[in-house]
Amino acid sequence: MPTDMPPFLPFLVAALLAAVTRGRLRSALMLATPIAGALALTGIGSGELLQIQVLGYTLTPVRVDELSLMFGYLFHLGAFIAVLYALHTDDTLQHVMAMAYAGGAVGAVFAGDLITFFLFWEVLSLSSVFLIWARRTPQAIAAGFRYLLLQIGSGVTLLAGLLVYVAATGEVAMNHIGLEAPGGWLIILALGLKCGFPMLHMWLTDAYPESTPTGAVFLCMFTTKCAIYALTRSFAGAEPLIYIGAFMTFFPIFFAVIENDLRRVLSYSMINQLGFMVCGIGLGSALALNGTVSHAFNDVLFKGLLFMSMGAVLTMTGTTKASELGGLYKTMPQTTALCIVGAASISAIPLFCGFVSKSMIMQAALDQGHTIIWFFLLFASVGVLEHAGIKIPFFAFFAHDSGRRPAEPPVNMRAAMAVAAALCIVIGVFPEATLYRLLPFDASYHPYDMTHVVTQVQLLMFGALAVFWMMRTGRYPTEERAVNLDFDWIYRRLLPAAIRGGERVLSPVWDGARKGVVAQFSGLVALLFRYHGPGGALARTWPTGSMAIWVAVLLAVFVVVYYL
Amino acid sequence: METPREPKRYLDNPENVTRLWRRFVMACAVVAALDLFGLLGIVYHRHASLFVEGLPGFYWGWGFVGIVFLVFGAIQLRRFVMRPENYYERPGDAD
Amino acid sequence: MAHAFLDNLPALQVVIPLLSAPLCLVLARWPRLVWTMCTLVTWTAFGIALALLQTVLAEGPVSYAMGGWAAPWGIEYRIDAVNAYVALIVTGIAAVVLPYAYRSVPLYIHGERVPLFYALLMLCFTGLLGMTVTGDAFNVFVFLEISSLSMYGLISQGRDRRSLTASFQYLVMGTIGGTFVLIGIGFLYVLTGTLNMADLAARLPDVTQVRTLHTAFAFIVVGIGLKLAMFPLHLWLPNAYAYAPSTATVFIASTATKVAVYILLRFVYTIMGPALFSEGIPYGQIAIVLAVMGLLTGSFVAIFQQNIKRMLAYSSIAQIGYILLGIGFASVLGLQAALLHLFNHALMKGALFMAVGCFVYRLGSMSIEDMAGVGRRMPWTFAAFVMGGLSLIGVPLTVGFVSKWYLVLAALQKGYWPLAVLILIGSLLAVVYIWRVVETAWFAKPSLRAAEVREAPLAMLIPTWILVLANIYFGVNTTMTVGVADLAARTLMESMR
Repeated sequence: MPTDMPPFLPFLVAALLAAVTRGRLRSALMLATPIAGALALTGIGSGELLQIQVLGYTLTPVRVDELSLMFGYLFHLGAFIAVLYALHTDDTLQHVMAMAYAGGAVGAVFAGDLITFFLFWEVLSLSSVFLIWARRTPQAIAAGFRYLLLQIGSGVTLLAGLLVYVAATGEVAMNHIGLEAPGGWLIILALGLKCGFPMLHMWLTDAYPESTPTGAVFLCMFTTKCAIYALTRSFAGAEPLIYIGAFMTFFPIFFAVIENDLRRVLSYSMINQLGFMVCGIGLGSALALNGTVSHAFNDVLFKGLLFMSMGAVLTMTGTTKASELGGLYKTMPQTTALCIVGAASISAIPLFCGFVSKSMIMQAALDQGHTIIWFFLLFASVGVLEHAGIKIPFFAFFAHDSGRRPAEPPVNMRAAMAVAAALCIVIGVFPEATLYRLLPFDASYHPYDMTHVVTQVQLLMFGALAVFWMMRTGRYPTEERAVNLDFDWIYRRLLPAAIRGGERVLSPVWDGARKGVVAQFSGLVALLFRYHGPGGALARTWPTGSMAIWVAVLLAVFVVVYYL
Repeated sequence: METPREPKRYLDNPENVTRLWRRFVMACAVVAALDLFGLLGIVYHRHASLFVEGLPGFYWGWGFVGIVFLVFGAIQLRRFVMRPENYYERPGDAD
Repeated sequence: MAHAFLDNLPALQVVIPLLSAPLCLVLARWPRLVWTMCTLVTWTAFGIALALLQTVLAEGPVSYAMGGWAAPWGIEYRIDAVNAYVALIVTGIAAVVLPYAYRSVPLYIHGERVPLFYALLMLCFTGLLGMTVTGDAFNVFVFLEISSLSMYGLISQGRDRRSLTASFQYLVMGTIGGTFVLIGIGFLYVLTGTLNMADLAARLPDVTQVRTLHTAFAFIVVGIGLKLAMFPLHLWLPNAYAYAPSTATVFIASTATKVAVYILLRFVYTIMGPALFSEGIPYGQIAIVLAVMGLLTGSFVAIFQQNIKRMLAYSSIAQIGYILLGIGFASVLGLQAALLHLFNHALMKGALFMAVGCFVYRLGSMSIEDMAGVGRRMPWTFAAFVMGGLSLIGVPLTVGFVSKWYLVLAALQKGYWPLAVLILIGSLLAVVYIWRVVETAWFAKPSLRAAEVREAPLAMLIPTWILVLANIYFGVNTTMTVGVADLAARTLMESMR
């Protein structure tokens, strides 16, 4: 294996190859890509492995350190699972874009400078939107456009921020930036948009549930984790992130309780989990940052697993609406079991992987004296149990019997879920031998201490008790076939309405102005055409004599000017 | 819809569900009781960073109350944000 | 043996193409052999130019005394970073044009006249290279005439009878230009008694008859201005480019004006600069005014053109405006930008004219209307045209962006921010005229003529795509071009002190 091969290269090559191959060959190729890539990573050197000079700036397309390596392994693992899961689909567009998307994510975490990072950031946007459009429903197309708009907005903001930053500091390397740096706020806004900061999160809950069953698995793994990576690298210890993160853990859980589409519930849950990570970045201690990256690692596994199980349900039944599901455990027992493993992991039940990462962030909050924040996080932890731990498996597989009797999903889907589930348990049981060895920052933490285990079990069991008690006594909100307004309402309803209203008021004025401008502009064009058009003075073929006159005139001008 | 030949399953019987529910409540009680052991220093020694965190019943109480608060909060939220399923598909009339 | 070869590289750079021209006639019975030989000659010349640039970069300027007669009595070939760089452009373009010519030339010229065409092409090549490498002012005139005379011949070979008028007009104008240059050089000789460039530069500052010097300067600038199509001396150019055979258009458009710019730089900066610039004549401002007028006029006229080759020709006039703008700034950064654009414009205009040549080859028409829908029939050619167009507009990751970037930097460094805005407006105008073609060729309903065409032959597509890829490669990896242009600009500015 060449050790200085850019890690994103295999994926981009595979994207090209996936476009021209078919059948088993393509399957083998796409499965081999993340494996080969991960093997190459084990032998990769460290430091700035590739540098090029562009316009006087030193770009570093490949920079390897512990942080980028950890995310690099994570994305290879995620890509393997997702590719395995998507293997049965025969949609070339999705396969090509998924490989390009994974390549973009890998490229972004190994980018050593802001310009390279920006380029991969755009690759992420442009490739991922096809995974939404590939569902090919009118809703998916529309949601894809809204998604693309905001993603491009993030890219433009990032570009603006990095231009300000580079112009002011002369530094293009991607290291700690901080909020005080010029352009820092713009950059954090761009990164924040992609990891679902409050009021910038709506693209996530809007578009992910509209994507294809397999596309959602890719989507939930890469975009937001790239943003988490970039925030960790460039904004560790930025205090506002603590409060933003805490709020992110807090508000989505209410929406998740009343949401009917189970993949949208997962999207809200995703913002909630990202909130934990953002909060950890804001705390900025070695323990908090370790917690952040390991939670990002685990989130790829368990959120991927949950999206996969819902994707299986969607594939086999055609819906993920809680109001139309129920009782599926009877014919999909394996999927049910795998989904429950994911639910247990995200709820941070001891011996599952969520337990060993989330608690690091909470411990760090306590250590740094952020007691109020800790209470918020503790509340959010119970909330996770409610919507992701119980609601997802319960309403899909148990609850009232919907009468649907779908078969188990294709074997490759089950295999992918099994791999993710196995990893969730292995990491949960042996964190020190697996996940903790990859951690980039220097802090030791032991999750399995008696007090911690007992209190966590108490917290979760009584949370579950409350849920079941409310269900049995009819206090729990019923599943309604409805949508809930979120911030996307602003541009889906308010803005169009405002524009229509404005149009009615302004249209006479506008018509007049437009006519005036058009008239002026046509006048200008006509004038230009008179002199520059094919027959105009400036474009005509002149007689040779008059050309010569020009020579004489110019010579005279020169001579006169010099004699003056 | 249900095919008559389908086997009757354990969870289909409401009595079994009730039985499971009772067992679960009992398990919860046992888990809650562990606080006493911690307090007395039997089985394990309980440590806490905050004062309230060390109080017996804090965690299980927080878990139960938290969920109740969450669900009631969400029901209130529904009054503001819930719309018919085809809300976004009807362009034009604002509500 | 190898040593003797290496020592004589500067002479071989000119002599090999010169000898190949009569050989074309000797071998005229075997047109393919002629083509093969010419191709090999251009490749060899390219190799020599590369080797010379390496030597200059490593060891500094190379001086070569023709026939062993030392300067200032004999003719000296003197190669520094500036002309090594220009020679690389000329030979590089020639090395790509020749393979393109194989399929393209027979469209215009039949049978036994093909070897004559190659002989003219080689003479033109010789003349341009000679102007580039020589260190002798009179020698410049000689090679200028060699290249011009052969160019008139090349242009007259077009299928359209208008090519004869175009050629004749260029003949008259070119001769006036050549004469002016000769008069200017004559004045310089009268003043100093020498024709060697370095010697001239050393002696001119001591000259007391300043008026004669000024007159010489005026003649030389106007004479060369004619050759490089400086506004308003550009009138010969659109027809010459439009009606010449595609191969000749590509070659002339990407090299002839570039060499003329080089000669201008050489005379203005190296030879006369030290003597003239102490006097504070606003020559830079004059150049900027002419450049801006050329830039705007060229772009606007291009927007309204119906003939695609004329459109690109007017675009060339606008692009020459950019180059003159950089020269007019009279700063290292400005010169660097001008030199960069020299290289980059050769790449982008070469690619565009080649793509258009492919369209013409299949369509048999140069009218934009006839190109309706042709993009879908000839996707590779169309893609090449679009890439060349993007480069012309100055989209990032293409060479066009690199030149625009440095030009804007140079303008801002001088505090001429309205000019920086103007440069960007020029890009927008380029968007308009490129888009017109794209819209017609891709989105319009195919014309009857376009519905029947096939993709252009590979022998034409491959050279086109080599230039297109070069547009991207040098847009991403700017180490070579920016480095050499920087060195060349410094070399030119140094002689001013």
